[in-house]
Amino acid sequence: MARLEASTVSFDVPGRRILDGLDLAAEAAECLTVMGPSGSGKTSLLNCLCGITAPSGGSVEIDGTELTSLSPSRRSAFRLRRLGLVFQFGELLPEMTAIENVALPLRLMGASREDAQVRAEEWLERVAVNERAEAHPGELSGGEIQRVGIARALAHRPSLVLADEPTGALDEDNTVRVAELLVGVARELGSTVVITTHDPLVASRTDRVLRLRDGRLEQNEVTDSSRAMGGS
Amino acid sequence: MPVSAAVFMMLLLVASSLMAMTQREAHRETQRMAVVAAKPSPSDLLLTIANDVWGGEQYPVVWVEPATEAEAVLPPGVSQLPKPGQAVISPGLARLASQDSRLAARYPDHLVLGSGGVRSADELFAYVRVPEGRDLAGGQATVRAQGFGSHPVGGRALPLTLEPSQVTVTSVSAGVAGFLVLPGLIVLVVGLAAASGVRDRRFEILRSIGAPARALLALAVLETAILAVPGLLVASILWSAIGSRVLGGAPLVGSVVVGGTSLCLGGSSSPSSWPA
Repeated sequence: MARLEASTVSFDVPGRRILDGLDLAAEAAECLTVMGPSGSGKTSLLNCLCGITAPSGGSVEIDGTELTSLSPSRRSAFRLRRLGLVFQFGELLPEMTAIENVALPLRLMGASREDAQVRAEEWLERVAVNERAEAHPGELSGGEIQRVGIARALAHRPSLVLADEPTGALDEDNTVRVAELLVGVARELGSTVVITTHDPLVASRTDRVLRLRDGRLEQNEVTDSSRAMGGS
Repeated sequence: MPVSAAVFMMLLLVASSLMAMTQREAHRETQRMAVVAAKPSPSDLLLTIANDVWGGEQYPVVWVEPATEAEAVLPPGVSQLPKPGQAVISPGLARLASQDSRLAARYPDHLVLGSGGVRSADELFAYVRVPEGRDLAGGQATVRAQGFGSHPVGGRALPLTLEPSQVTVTSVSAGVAGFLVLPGLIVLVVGLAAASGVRDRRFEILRSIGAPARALLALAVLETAILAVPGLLVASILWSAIGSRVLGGAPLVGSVVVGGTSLCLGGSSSPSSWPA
């Protein structure tokens, strides 16, 4: 479980400020949504939170580790071991099969081929794509790709999961299935989850909703899901 | 990508061939320099540099004569001292002489220089031993050579050419770098850039999930090798098949480039068997 705290994070591109002194805190095992229209800076925010991009200002702290103070290589190592990333289009490596994609982070972390294979099989079963384990991404449907992507993001049991529009390319049925799967499995693991989306169907399944506008987080809504779980 | 790698490799091979050829020519020219005798010795060879003209081209003719009755030092490529009045001519001159009787008449009963005695296979050059009744001793332009090759420290050596070669290793290096290697690199970089869209995406994904820098580097090297090796192999095979013929027709400023290395001529004694 991870506690995430981003303080006065700003991010600039030439001629434009994308994030403007944004504050964000997520408690351990909390699942929250960041909503906002296209171009509002949701992806930039996630990139800053996971250390892919260094923010122009402010700090990002995950479980006491100040991510912004780490070197790029240490940030990569931290990301590999502690974070799980889910992307809008799955972003599986097209040359690898589904099971190889899931095993990839495990192998990069030093797991043996056999161990990584066994754990990847378990995760594919967990996300119900085990029958397509040997299929390449080009042979999978959008929903299957996204479920494999979720398995890859969670297979090493990260303490923080960041998902960038994970249902953006899916139809309504798949959106509901993928959102429930992502939130459900992350809750089982006790991982903290931050999802960016513009889809209320996804947002309604998380504990809290923040709205990103003009580079700042404006609202803080408690969802029905949270109330149902006894949150405030 | 394989095509750009092949083009780059081909240009690199042309460049390296030209460099090697120029270096070989420079080395042979050095080995043919007459080391001026610091003090007379019975084995010295007297020589005088003159010139002759054929087909509008002026070329050096070195008159030689042993200083004494003793066995004299021999220039590189000369296996035996010619008889009085006899010439030892370069393979290029011998080829021309075989095609024109007027030139052949200038060097009757000639011997042919070995490959170590000429700068390139079609260089026009001749050693001629002075005829009976004439001698070089006492001549103002006569040089007393104690040997051939690089001159000793403090000594002096005379290049057996009419004028020093304008084509130096440095000038050829600059030429091949500017006209072959640089364009080749541009072709390679453009090829890499054109093929990199998919690779960029793959590396972006790997970086996103936190792949270590050394893993990314290893993958980049492996991928580049897999992409480039077929092109490099094709270019190498192609060059080994046609390289010497291509170079044979390539003019260098101030120098005539010939097909292949003159070492290839070493085993031949018949002018008609030499390549054009």
